[in-house]
Amino acid sequence: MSADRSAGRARWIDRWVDRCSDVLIGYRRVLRVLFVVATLGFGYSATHVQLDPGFLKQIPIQHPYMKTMMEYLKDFSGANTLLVNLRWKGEGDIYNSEFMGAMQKATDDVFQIPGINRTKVSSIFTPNVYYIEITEEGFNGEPVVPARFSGTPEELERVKHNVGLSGQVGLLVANDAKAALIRADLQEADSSDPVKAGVFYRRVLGRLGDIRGRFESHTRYTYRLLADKPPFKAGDVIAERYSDEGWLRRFETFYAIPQDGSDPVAVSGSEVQVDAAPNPDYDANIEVNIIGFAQLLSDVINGLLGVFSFFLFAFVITFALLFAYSRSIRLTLVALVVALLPVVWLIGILPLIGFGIDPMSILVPFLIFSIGVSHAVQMTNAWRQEVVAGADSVEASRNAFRKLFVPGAVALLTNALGFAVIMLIDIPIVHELGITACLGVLLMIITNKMILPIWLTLIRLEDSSRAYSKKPDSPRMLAIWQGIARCAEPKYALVTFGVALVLLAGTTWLSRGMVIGDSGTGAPELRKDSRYNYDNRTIGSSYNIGTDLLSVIVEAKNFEGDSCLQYPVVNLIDRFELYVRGIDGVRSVTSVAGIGKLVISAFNEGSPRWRALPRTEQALSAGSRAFDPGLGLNNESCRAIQVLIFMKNHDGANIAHVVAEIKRFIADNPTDGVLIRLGNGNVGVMAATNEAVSAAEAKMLLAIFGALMLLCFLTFRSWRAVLCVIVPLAMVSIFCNALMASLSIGLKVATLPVIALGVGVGVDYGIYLFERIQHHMADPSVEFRDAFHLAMRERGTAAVFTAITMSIAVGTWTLSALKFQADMGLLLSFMFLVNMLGAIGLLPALGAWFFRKPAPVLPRVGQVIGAK
Amino acid sequence: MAKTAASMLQDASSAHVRAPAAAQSPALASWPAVVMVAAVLGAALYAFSPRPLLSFPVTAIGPDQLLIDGLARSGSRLAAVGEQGEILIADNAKGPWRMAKVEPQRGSTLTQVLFVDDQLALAVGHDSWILRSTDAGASWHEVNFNPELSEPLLGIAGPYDGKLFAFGGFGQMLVSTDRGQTWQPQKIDTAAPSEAPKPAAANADPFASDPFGAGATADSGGDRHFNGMVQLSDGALLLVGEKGLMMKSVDHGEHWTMMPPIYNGSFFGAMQLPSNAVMVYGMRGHAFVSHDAGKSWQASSLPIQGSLFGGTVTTDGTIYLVGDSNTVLVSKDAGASFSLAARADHVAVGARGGLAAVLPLTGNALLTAGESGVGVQNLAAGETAPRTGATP
Repeated sequence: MSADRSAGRARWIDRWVDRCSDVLIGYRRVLRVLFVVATLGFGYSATHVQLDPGFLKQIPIQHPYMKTMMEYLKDFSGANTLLVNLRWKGEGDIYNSEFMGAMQKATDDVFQIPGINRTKVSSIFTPNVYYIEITEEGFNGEPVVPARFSGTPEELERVKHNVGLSGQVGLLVANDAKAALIRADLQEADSSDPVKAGVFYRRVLGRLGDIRGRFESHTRYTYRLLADKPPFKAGDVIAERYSDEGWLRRFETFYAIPQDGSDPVAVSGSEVQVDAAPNPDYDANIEVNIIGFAQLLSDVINGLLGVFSFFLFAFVITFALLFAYSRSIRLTLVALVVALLPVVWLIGILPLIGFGIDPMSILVPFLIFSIGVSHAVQMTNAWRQEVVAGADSVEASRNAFRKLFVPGAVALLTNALGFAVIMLIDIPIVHELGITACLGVLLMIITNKMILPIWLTLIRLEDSSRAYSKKPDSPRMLAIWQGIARCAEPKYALVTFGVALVLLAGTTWLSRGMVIGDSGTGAPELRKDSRYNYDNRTIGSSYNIGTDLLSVIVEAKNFEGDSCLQYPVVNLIDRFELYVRGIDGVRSVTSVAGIGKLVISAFNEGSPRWRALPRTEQALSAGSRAFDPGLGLNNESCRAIQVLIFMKNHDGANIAHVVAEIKRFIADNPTDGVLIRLGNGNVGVMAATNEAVSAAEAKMLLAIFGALMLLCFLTFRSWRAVLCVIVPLAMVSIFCNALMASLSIGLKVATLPVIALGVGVGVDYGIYLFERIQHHMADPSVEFRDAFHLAMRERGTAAVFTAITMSIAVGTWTLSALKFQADMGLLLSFMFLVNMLGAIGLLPALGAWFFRKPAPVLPRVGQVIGAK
Repeated sequence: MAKTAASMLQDASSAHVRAPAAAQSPALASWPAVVMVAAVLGAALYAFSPRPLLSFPVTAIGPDQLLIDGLARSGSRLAAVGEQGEILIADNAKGPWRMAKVEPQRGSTLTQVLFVDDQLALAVGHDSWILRSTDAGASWHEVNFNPELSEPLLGIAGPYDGKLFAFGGFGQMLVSTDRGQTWQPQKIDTAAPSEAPKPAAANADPFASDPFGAGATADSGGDRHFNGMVQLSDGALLLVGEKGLMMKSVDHGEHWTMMPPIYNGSFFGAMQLPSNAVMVYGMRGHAFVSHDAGKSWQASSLPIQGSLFGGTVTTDGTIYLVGDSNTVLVSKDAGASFSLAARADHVAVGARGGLAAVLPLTGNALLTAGESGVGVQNLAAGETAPRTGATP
C-alpha cells in the first residue's frame, strides 16, 4: 500500500525534478546574468550592514521581570556605572603620597570622560565624600581629603582617620586598605543619532584606555597634526595616548577637542605623526582595574572584531581540505565561491530588512558558509563522478542536479526548520539569529541547487583530478570501507548497540548535571581569564560591593504623601531585607529601610539601640534623608522603591534559589497597597533569561524532533527509516548535554540553539545516506548491508569530509575572546562531528535489523547464536 | 533519461511486490533495534526531563546576620534580643542559637534584656514593647505595647527593692512592682532648671538640607532620653541619659533630682563595680568612675574617641566596654584606665560595625553583640581574632 503510493510519488517527483533540470540547463545563460546581477546588488547592499550590539535585544522582553524593568527604566537605570579601582602593589597601605598622587590624577581623569555625570563622581578626592563625626554638640562633616592636600605625613594620617569616620571602608576604600575606588555614572549618549552615539562611545572607550595606560604603560604617545586642519595648525598636539595601533593607525579616527570646547573634530590616523616617549606617570606599584558597562562594551566589541580573523582561518582550512579531497583547483574554487554566495546575499539582505550584526548573529555567516560547503561538496562530488564516468560537463550537471535535488532540498529544509524552531526562545537576539539563519539556508537552495549546476556546465575537469578519481581505492581504503560496511551486518550491529548503550547510560547520567544559566561571577560574555573579569574579581574581593545585582521593586502607589513615611510600607521592606539577608547565596542587601534606620540612629548619636523604624509618620520623617530619590533607591514620593540584593555569584542554580525564596516571601506577606515585583539588575535579566531558556528547552526539542520526523517520513515513507535517521540524532543530543555538564557550560541563550542547530544540520548526513540506501534497497536482491556499502561509496566520503570541514570551521570559534562564542563553537563542532559518526555507525546498525530480509536471515541468527 | 525513469518505476513496483514479505517480519524479528530505539527514547526522556534544583540551606537568619542590642545570662542560658523583635537563646556561647517563641510578634526592635532570676526574664524595645518570659527565655509574651506613641524603651533595670524600671526615649519611664507583669508610666521632668542653652548653632549638619533633620531629634520638648540605671552604694538610684543627663532618686524612684553635670555628651550606660564603685560611659570615649555614691567622679583614661554602648564587669573586677567600630576596651584597675582589648586592625576609627552589648565568658573570652549579631571574641594574651569584616 505505502510502497504503491511511494512509486506514484517517485514518478511524479522525478518527472518534476527532470523538468526543473531541463529548465535550469536550458535557460542557463539568462539565469547566469540574473544571478550575477543579484550578487552585485546584494554585495553593494552588504557594505551598508551595521553593527547592532543592542542591550535590549538580549533580554526576554515579554517576561514579567523584564516588563517591571522596562517600566522603571527611567527611575532606576543606574546600569551604566563605571568603577575605576587603583590598587597599591607596594609596601604598606594606600596612605602614602605616591598612591594619593595617582589617585588624585585618576579622579581628575575620570572627570574628563565625556558624558560623565560630574556631580556623581565619587572617590576619596571628591568633595561629596565626607566623613561625619558625631560630637557632643552634633555632627561634624568635612571632605575626607582636605582641600589643600599636599601629601605630608600628618595629612596622610588625617586622611586615614577621616576615611574611617566616613564609613567608606568597603565602599570607596578597600577592606584591606590596599586600594581605592572611583565611582562614576555615564549618562547615555543621545541614542536617537547612532553616528553621534558611536562617536561618543568611542571617545569614552578611548578615555578609559588612557586611565589604565597612564599608570600601567611604559610609553606615552603624542600625536601631532602633519598639516593644518582648522581650527588646528600643523604640529598641534591633538591627542596623547598610552597605546599605539602601529600600522593600523591610519584606519583609526582621533577626536580632537578644539580650545573653545565645541564639537570634537575627527582626525584620521593618516593625518598625524606620533612621538613615543617614556611615560612619566608609569608606576610599577599601581594597578588599574576598570569595570562597568562601557568597559564591557569595549571588550566585547574588540572580541567581535577578532571573529573576522577566524573566518579567514576557516576559509583557508576549508580550501586546503577541499583541494585534498577533489584534487581540482577549479572545483575547489567553485565550491568555495558558491558557498560564499549565500553569505554575501544574506549580509546584503540584512540592511534591507532592518537587521544589523550582533554578537550572536555574527556567527550565522560562518554557519551558512560551512553548510554551503557541505552541500557544494555533495554537488561537485556527484558532478565529478558523472564526468569521470564519461558524461560531458552539461550532462553531468543535469544528472547531478537530478540526483541531489530531492535529498539536498529536504536537507536544507530541515536545516531551515532547525533554525526556525530556535525562534521559540522569546528573546529578540535569538529571534534575529533564527530569522537570519533560516533566510541564509533558504538562499542556499538557490545558490547550491541552481547557481552551482549552471556554473558547473562551464567547468572542464582537470586531467589530474580525473586521473585521481579513476584511481582505484588503495587496499587500506578498501579495508576501511569494508569495516564501515560491516556496521550494517546484524552481527556487528549488536556490537554497535552494546557500545552505544554503554555510552548512552554514561552520558544520560552525566547530562543530568547540566545547569541552566551562567556560572561564577563577572561578565559571562567574556572568558574567566579576561582582563575584565580579572578586574571584576579584584574589585569584588576587596570591597563589600558585588557586581551581581538583583533588584526588587516595591510598589506603593496609593498612599497619601510619601510612601516611605508609611510604616506598613517601610516595615515590609525592613522585614524583606532581613529575610533576604538569610537566603543562602545573597551577599548583602540595601534598601531604604536599612538606610533609614542608619539615618535615624545617626540623629540619635549613632546609638545602635535607635536603629529601628518608628511607627508614626512624624518620627519616620527623621530618616527621610534616606528617601531622597537622588540616592537612587526610590522615585519621587516613594511610589516605587527598589531593594538592591547583591549576590555572591550568578550561578544559574543560585539565582533560581534566591528568586524562589523571594517569591515565597511575597506569597507569605501580602500587604495592602504594596506590590513586590521582580526584578531589575543584571541578575534580574539573568533570572528572566534563564526562565525563558528553561521554558523553551523542551518546547524546542519537541518541535525540532517532531518536525524532522515528519519531514523524514514524507521523504522516505517508512517509519523504520525515520527511526534509523532520528535515533542517532537523539542519542547525540544527550551526548551534547553530557558534554555541557562535564565542561560546566550552562544552558543559556547562546547554547540553547546549539542542539537545534546541530540536529538540524546533522540530519543531512542521514538523509543523504538513506536516500541512496532506499534507492538501492528497491532492488529486492540487494541486502541492506550492500545498499549501505554502495551509499557510502557514493555519498559517505562527501558526508565524512563535510563533517570534518564544518567541525573545523565552527571549531575556530573556540579561539574567540567571547566566552559564549567559544562555547557555541565547541558544542556545534562536537555535534557536527558526532552526528556524522552516528549516521555512519548507528544508522546502519539500526537498519541492519530493521531491514533484514526475512529469507536469508534465520540461518544468520543461528550463526550468531552458534558463534557465541 | 527515459530509461532511468523506467528502471526507477521497476524498482518501485518490485518494492511493492516485496512489501508483504517484509511485513511478515514484525517488530519481534528486529528486536535488538527495537530495544536500542526504546533505550534511546527512554534515555532522552530522562535526560531532558526537568532537572532537579540543587538543594540549598534553608533560608534562616544566622545569629551573625541581625542587629543585636541586648545580652543577658542566667546560669548557662544566654539570651540575645534585637532587630525586629527577634530573641535568640543558647545554652552555650558558641551556639547553636535558636529563635525563641515571641507571642505576639510585633516586629519592634528590642533593645535590652534582663534576667530577674533564673527563670524570669524581661525584654524591652521600641514602641514601649515589654516582653516577659517565665521559662528562662524559651517563650515570651507581651506585657506592654504602645504603638501610637512609638517611642523606644532603651533599658531595663532592677529589681531594686522589688521595683523594676523600664526607661527610654523622650523621658519615658515605666515601673513594675509585680515582677514585670504590669507596668505603670511615671512622669519625670528631665529639663534641668540650670541647663545651659543647647549649642545648636555648632551643628555642622551634613543633613542640613533635610527639613525634618534637626527638628525630629533631641529637641522633643526638652524630654531627654534615659539610657541607663544603676543602684549606688548608698542604695540611691542613678539614672543617666542624653546630653550628660544624671538624675538621682533616694526614695526608690518616686522622685528624681538632677545631679550637677560632669559632661555635656550623652551617657549610654551605667554599671556597678565590685568595689562598691559605679561607672558611667558614653560618647566619644568618655567614661567616669565614682567611689563615693556619685558625689564625685573621676574621668577614666581611654585610648579611643569612639562612643561606648555597652559594658560588663567580671567577678574579679575586670571591666569591659564595647562600642563603635567593634571596639572592646578592658580595664584591670577598677576603671581608672582602659586599653584596647580587641579591634580588627584594618577597621579604622569610626568604621561601620558597632557593638552594643558584652558578656564575659570563661577562658578569657567575651560574648559581644551588635550590628553583626552575636559572636565570641577570644582575648588570649591580648590578641584578638577580628570578628567581623575581616579579610584573611
